Amino acid sequence: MESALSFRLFRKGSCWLGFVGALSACGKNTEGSFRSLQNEDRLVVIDSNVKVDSLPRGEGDAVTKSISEDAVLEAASALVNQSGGPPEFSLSEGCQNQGDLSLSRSEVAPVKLLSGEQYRNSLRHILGAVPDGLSQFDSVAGKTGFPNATEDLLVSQPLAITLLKNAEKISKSDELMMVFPCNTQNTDYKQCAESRVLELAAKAFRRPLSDLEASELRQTFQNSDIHVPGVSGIQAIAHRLFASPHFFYQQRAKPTDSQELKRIKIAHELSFAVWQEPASSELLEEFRSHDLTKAGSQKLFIAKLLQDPRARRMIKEFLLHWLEIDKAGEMAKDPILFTGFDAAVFQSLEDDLVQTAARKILAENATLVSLLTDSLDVPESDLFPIETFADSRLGLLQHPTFIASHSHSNSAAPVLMGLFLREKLMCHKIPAPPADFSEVEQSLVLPENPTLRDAYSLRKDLPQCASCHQMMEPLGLAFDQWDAVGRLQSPEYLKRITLGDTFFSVKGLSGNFADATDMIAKLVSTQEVRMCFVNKLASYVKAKRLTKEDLCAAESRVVSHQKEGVPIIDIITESLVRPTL
Amino acid sequence: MASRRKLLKTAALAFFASPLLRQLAQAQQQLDATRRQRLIVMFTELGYTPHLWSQKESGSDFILKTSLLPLQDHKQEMLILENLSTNKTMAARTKVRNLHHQGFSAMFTGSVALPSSVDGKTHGPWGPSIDHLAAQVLHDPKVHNPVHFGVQTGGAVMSSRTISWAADGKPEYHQNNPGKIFDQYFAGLLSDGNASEEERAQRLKKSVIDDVYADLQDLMRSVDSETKKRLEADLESFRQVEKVVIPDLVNRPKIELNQADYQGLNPSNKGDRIKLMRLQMKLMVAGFKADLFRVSTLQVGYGNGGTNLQWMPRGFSARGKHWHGEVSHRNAGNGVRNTQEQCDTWTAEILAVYAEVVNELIHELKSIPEVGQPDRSLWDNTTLLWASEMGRPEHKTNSCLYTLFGSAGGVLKTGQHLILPPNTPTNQAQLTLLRALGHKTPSFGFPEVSGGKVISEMLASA
Repeated sequence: MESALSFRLFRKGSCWLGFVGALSACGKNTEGSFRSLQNEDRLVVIDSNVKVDSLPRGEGDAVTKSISEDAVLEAASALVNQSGGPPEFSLSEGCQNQGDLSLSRSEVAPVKLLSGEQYRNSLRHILGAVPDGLSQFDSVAGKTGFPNATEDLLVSQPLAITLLKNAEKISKSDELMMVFPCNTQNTDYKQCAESRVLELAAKAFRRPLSDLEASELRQTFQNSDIHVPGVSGIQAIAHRLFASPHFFYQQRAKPTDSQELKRIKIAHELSFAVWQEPASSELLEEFRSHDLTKAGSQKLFIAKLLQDPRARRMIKEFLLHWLEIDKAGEMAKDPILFTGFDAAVFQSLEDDLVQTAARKILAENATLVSLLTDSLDVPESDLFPIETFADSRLGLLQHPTFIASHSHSNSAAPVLMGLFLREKLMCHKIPAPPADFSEVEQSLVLPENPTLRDAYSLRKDLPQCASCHQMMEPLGLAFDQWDAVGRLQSPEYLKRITLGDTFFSVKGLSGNFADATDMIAKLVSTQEVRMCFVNKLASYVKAKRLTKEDLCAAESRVVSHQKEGVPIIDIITESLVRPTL
Repeated sequence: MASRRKLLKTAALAFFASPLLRQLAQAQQQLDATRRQRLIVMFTELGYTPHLWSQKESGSDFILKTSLLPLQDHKQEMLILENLSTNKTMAARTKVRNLHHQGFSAMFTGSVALPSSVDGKTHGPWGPSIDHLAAQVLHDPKVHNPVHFGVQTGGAVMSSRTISWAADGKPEYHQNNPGKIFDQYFAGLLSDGNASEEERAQRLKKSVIDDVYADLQDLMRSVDSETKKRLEADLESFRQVEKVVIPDLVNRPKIELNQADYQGLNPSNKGDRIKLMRLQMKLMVAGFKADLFRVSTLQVGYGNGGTNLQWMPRGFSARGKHWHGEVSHRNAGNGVRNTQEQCDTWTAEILAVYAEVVNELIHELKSIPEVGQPDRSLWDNTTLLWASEMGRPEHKTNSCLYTLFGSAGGVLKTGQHLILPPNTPTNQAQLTLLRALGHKTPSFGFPEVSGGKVISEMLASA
């Protein structure tokens, strides 16, 4: 029976051949249990716990008779959604609709390494400028997709070297001496320098020093200064302070801290999250009488942070990693096809996208829907003009920055674009390409002067490629009107394609779409995409992988704002608040 | 800022203050130098043209051909192994077979991608690679892990991005930017020749690191177990780099590297590619000289040939793509195929360019005396293994070559071209090399492939 069914499937339904084979290529077990797959009047029933290989003959016949390309696509989509698809959250099960994203904030890790930007900004905060010659370090995106997750921020060996060497360079910098206006010729030099040392330490550690710390610093300073007159004592202390874990780790408030210490630590934690730098003394002073362990006070504090232009840093870091557009350093387009489009042009476009989005989010109460569907203006440029096309280019995903980031050097890349949409907009996981993918790519025989659709039509017939590419390329091909830098394709190219000719299927939505604008509008109307966005944003703001509790809260926020969408600034605020201490 | 550090500081100061202890340290250094060995593992992509590499005549006579001609000076220090194969390794535990990716990992780890013990996904060879195994016996425990130099490395598939695997699921990638390696290992360490001031600076650095240890340990006392684990890993990183940050004064590297030396170099351009190789090798030599590390890898390209070599003639890069398609698949675009002879010649010519740089490296190492052994050079204690992920570029994994330079301290018999029995597993050659370097491992990679066999003809004692 088993072999007969397999034979029928493979012999009669060529699509099934691709379907089953592709499942295997996607890392799925072809003997895994399938859910019911229903495609309107073509009913394809596979019992949820029945193995494909052991289906009764009758049902197998039904499958083979009713099979069609659309059904296969939808079936494959459902399967990816089921076992590869949204792994980061599962809706509703076990949730007790909590409307506040802050509720699980109590479990933040007590210690967090500063990011590269936070490290530099902290130095600027203390010394007025970042000394020349320091080695830079940047954090790498980890499992959350963002570079700020506490669990991913570790001191690697190269980073340990950088931190130690930077501390030494800081200790010898002019900037350090500028914060020590003590005259070595004056009789009160030692007293002056000692008090400045203690101030410097408190600034570096971002909290008052303990008595033991102060006493040790005094002793070290005095000993150093006796042996090495002049500024060397200060340098020795500074070397220690900037190499200290108390400087390069952010220490969060603990229940055992004093009330004042909690206030200071929470203020710095929130400020690091939004401004990427410690809280300013002015802000600390302004909130001196507030109890920042309380959610209400924290919301006021956060609102203050978000009103400041420095809040753009947070928006920028989120967008660069969520949209995967942090590519100025590696942006290289074909110099003949795209003469003049260089890293500088890309950087100015990227700046425009970030500024536009930050304005919409921070000042205009933007939601995900408005961010991805409102009209946008592409900045005018003499170096490399790109037209806005106000009627057809809507939302951030049609901004040239985004399109150029998800394209090849010489052509658009529907696979990359589709991969982004699946992974970052829908939170699906698409398996990595098989090891021999480039061999297969090499073997494709394309017609002369092919369109991007020609390549897809070949891939979707290959069993080892089909199911994953069917997940990605129909979505990516919606952008086929744009070239590799986001300009309109040539009239000749546009004549040869039909934008709406690909079928797509995602959870709760299937069909064709007119173009990218139409597709994005449809996608963003789904609960799945909205959930995914809240999931991404909250995990970035909270700087950790979300727990089930977080996800339940995210779900309830989406459900309660289903029509208009959740204002992004609200998600940020709720995710930041840490009410339980 | 704990009181425990006072003990540490006292110990550090006492060390520097005591002439007897210093003499003991110097004696230890000399003793260590007598058994010091180094290993360089070098990878270049997409195989060789065997008949344009080396040809065995009679007995130990062999003739260097196009690719190896630039290394004629070192012929008597070469050990060429012909007829190696990764086929058995690739077939050992999985039916999936990809010559570039699996050949790549088979060549350097003796294993291929399997479901990882880390997360159940297939994502890397079984590991560890030969450089890591060699480091287990060659490194002073305090010196750094193997250091990985790269020229245009990259690639989309993890198993063919790097030749170095610390363990299953733990790839170590190559640094293509010499400036970053310089920053990590050498910047700020230039000597001004003033020993007493330097010594004082070293004392300060030592006590700063002691403070870091103490502060981290303080922090660990008041955190949950998960955070404690992270902090312990951080602490270990500081322990590992202590030697790099505080190099001993005698061997301090004197090297300068300016941004203008490397910025804007395009590795697809022949001249720039050579410059990058030279810069990486310069840093490698400085690291050896300072004993910052004793094992390093140099990876040029990666295991599926994404490299675009702009200097090659039309046909080689007819489609504006890369070596892999045009040579391995002989695809000249528009349905035209390059001839085998043409592809063989191109491959040999590219490798000759690399051989020229290897020649310079060997000469440089020969010119520098070994620390504590003035009658020996750095090269006398260095072995270099040059390999690719396949034999002939057209996906042949049964005609692989290993070319060794150096005798691993007199253990290997150099000056010979060995024609091994067909399909000799590369695992056997790697195992023999590891044993020559002093490793006691019973096998290399998948044990069932090499079965603990060494290639006795490779050994001087045979």
